[in-house]
Amino acid sequence: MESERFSNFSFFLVLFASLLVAASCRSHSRNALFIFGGSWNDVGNNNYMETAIKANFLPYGKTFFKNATGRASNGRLVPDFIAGFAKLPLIPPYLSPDNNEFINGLNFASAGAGALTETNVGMTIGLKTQLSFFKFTKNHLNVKLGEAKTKTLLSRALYMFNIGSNDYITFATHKTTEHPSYTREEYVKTVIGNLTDAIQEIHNMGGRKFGFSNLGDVGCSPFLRALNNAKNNGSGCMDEVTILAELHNKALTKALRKLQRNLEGFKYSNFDLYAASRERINHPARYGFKEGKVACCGTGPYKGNLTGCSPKTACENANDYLFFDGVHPTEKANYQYAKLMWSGRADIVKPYNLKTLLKKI
Amino acid sequence: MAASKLTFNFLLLNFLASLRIPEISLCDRSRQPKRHVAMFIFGDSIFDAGNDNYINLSVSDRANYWPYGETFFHFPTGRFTDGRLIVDLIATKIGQPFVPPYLQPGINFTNGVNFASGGAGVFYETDPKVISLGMQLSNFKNVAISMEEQIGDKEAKKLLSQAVYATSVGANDYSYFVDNYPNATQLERDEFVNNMVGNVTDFVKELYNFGARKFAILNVGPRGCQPAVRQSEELRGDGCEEVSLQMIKKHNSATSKAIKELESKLSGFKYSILDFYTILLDMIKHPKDYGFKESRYSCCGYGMYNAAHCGIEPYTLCKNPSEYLFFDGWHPTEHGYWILADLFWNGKPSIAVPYNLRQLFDLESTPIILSEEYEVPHDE
Repeated sequence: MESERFSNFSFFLVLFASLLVAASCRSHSRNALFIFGGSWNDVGNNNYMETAIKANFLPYGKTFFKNATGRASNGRLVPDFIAGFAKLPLIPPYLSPDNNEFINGLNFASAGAGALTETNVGMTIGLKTQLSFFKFTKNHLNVKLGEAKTKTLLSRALYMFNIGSNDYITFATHKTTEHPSYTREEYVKTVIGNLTDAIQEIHNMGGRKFGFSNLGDVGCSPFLRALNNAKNNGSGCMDEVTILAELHNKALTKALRKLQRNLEGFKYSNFDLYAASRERINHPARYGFKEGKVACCGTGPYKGNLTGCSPKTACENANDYLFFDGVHPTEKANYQYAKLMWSGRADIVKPYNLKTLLKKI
Repeated sequence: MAASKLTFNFLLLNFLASLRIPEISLCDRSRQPKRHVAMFIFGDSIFDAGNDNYINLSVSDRANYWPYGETFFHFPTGRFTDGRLIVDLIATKIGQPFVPPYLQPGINFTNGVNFASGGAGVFYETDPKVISLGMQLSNFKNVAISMEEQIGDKEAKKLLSQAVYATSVGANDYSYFVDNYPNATQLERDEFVNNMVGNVTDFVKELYNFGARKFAILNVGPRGCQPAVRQSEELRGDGCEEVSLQMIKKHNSATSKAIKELESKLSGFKYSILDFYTILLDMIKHPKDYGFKESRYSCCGYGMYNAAHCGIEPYTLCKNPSEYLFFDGWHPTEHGYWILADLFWNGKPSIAVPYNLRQLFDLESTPIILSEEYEVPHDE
């Protein structure tokens, strides 16, 4: 009798101990975060540039940071929340002199950036340049950690992308001088092509896990509603951009499936930002917002004028609003999007959410 | 009536206001769409981003070891400082990647190429082991030709004419001269300065012949006031090595004049002379005005002013390089370069003449007229 109790007890002890060991082993293996894209992801890189595309003044940042950081919102952005869910500190912008915490990853995103080099050229750090900075980071990791550890770090890391809206806004508002005769489909193909080139380069350098958002319902943002109003004498969303977004999102889904077939070890998560943003624009109350069409901070119709955001034109309570300025979500909206990306179900994020993606070997 | 007029004015105002938004340039002819601007970089260690890593040099002539690069890059790239150079910071300002060194394997020229080599001078004799200005020019010609082959004549000429050509050269030549000809007469010194100025001017003209139109020229710094020289001359107090300083002042003044004259002779020629000499000297004399704690001692090195052989034992490394003006015995820290880059970018008339860098990068280039070429005269 005694011996049985003892063996049961020791069994549970061993089980308990092994669980402890397993848990502590897992806690040492963090996934670094490398972030690319436009203003949706830019946490301050544009502060170091000579450009008008900046959000380094109040009321940007007012809600959470109490001061402007360069983030185009009243508080944290999606990558900030993802870092939190992944148990990482805030990932700093690459161009900041305080970019020492590189083992946790770096943020290369730049407001205004597109997949195409011509998009806002000279006023933003385009995707190719962001990639060149990532190459420097890899070299530095090799020196600091050695090649083997770097390889592991890069293969376990998550590479987040949010890019494309600036390319399509440019296309819709004036046919670019570089591609005057592109059809919509051709332009989308070029944008997607540039994106997949970047993905392949990162894969060549050891990256395996990629997190994407498709294009949100940008055509229905306050900025483009106002522009549609002024330019086309229309009311409501700028349909040209909506059409482009839908084409892009279809092509992105296809391209990611293809990459999964062709690139060894490539795994991804694709968040349907289009559906999530459209839902919130049309039914703000369901998601805790009072206003889904008008911005919190700005001037003109829908308060959509991006250059009109100042402490004087900011709303009282940003938490009531889906959009902080003409195109950028409030912190509250960013949190909701991040949560869906992290732990959302298969109807909104496919084929894995980020939490599952990071668990995979 | 009044109401609809108000509405119309409001809408018109809004439409006009929306034109200022950076993402759009609808019918605003005054705002030229920004172009991609390549940079071609020449000269010495002020601009070398790693070329010296690839040639057979002794350790003390290179910078591809710790602690060079410890700030920002966190690994040694070959830059003779703890972080980024002026040319890196300017590239970032216009949203471009750091311009790669010519000898680095696998580079492409889309953003330009960096030909600078630490130790280089105008003259080959100044240091035969490194890439002299003449060889850098040859390397550039190779790139220009392969550019034509790869992207076609028209595109290549466009890229070359819209690019900015940045140069920092001369300090090593004056070092070489005072070290090797300590008893030179005033006449011999003046002759050397004349030769230097003539060679720099010819260099610019040759680039012009290849399509270059925009030149950013750093004048020669106050070599003689750097910690390394003060240490080897054992100068105390505020003293600098005076002979080289005098020659350099004459050089800078004469070069300014000569480049200015080119403007009237060469069609479409635009330049910016950046007064590195005056600013660096002021930073040395009044470090606190610029946010430095220390301008006489180097952050990294050994000896009287901690200025010798940074990175080679025995040496000491300061805790916070951004407090220091000089990283090693010769070169500013990234913090120092940061201030210089900002001053050159925004510079008022005395710092950057006649354009500051922001203006130089923004200027529309006159397209090259393919049928005309300027011939470099043999006797000037």
